[in-house]
Amino acid sequence: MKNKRLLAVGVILLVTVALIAGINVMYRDKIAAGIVELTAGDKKVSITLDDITAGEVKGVRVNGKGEEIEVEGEGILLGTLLNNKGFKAYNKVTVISDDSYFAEVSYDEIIAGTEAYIMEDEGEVRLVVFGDSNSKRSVSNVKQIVVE
Amino acid sequence: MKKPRLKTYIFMALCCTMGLFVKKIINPFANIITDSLHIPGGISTAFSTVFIVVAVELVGVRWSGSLMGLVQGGLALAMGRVGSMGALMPIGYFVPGLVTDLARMILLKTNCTQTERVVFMNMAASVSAALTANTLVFHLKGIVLLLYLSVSAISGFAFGLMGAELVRRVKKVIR
Repeated sequence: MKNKRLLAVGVILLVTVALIAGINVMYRDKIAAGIVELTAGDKKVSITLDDITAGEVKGVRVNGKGEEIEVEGEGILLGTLLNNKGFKAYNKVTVISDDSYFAEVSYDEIIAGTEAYIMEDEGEVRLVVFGDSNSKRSVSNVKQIVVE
Repeated sequence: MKKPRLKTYIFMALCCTMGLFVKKIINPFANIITDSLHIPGGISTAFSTVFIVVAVELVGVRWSGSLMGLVQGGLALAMGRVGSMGALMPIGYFVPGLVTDLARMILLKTNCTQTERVVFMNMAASVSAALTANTLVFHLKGIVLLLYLSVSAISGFAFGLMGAELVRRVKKVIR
C-alpha cells in the first residue's frame, strides 16, 4: 500500500480488533454446551437439557426472512421452567445467547399464556415465542437467563 | 449543484441493486468469521455499503447516498427482505446512505485523497449500519459491542480499498 496514512489506519484497526477479540475470548463466560445459567440477583442455578426436555412442543415461528417455520421438538414453557426452579415472582425474563443477543419476556406475558418455550435444539438451547410476528425473540444458543 | 443525468440515475439504481444483493453472496463466508468471534455480523454489510459509497463518489450529487438508501429500503420492503429488523428495515438502509453523504461533505473539506475518502466513507457507513442494527435488533453491550463495531470498521476499511479501486476504474466510463 503506497498511502502511509491508510496503512497506519489499517494497522491500528487490525491491532484494535485483535486486542478486543483477545479480551472478549479471555473474559467470556465459559459455559458448557447445553447448559444455561439462570440468575436472579445473587441466586444462580444451572439448567441442563434434562430440565427442558419435559415434553413435545409444536408450533410455528417466524424466521429472519419473515417466513413461517414449523417447529417440533422437546421443550418446556418458560414460565413452567422458572416455576420448577423456584422463581415465582419477577417482572421480566431476559434470555441471552452465546453472541450476547437477547430477548425479553415479561411476567405479564407469561401469566397471559404467551407461548414462550425453552427448547432443545441440536444439543443446544433456544427460546421460541410462538405467535410473534417477527424473529426478534427467536434466540438460539441460549447461555443465560436473567430473572428480574 | 451538479444536475444528474439519466445515465447517473441508471448507475445509482444499479449500485442500489448490487448493494442489496451482494450481501447474500458473501454472507456464508462472513458468518464463518463472525461466528468464531461470537458477534452477529458486521462484515457483509461493509461489502454492501461499498456500492453506495462508490456511487456517491462517482455521481458527486449531494444527498445521493440518502436517496439510494431510501430506494434500497423500499426495495427490501417490497421484496420482503426485511430480516430481523422487520418494518424498520428501511432505517437500516437509510442511515448508512445518510452517513455516507455527511462523511463525504466533511472529507471534501480536508486534504484527503480520493482513495482515502472512499475508504473513510465506507468505514463510516459500515459502522453506522452496525450501530443502527444494534439499536434496532441486537442490543449488544460492552466488549461485544466494541468488537462488533471494530470488525465493522475494519471490514469497511478493507472493502473501502476495493471500492476505491472500483472508483478509479469506473470513473472514466461514468463521467
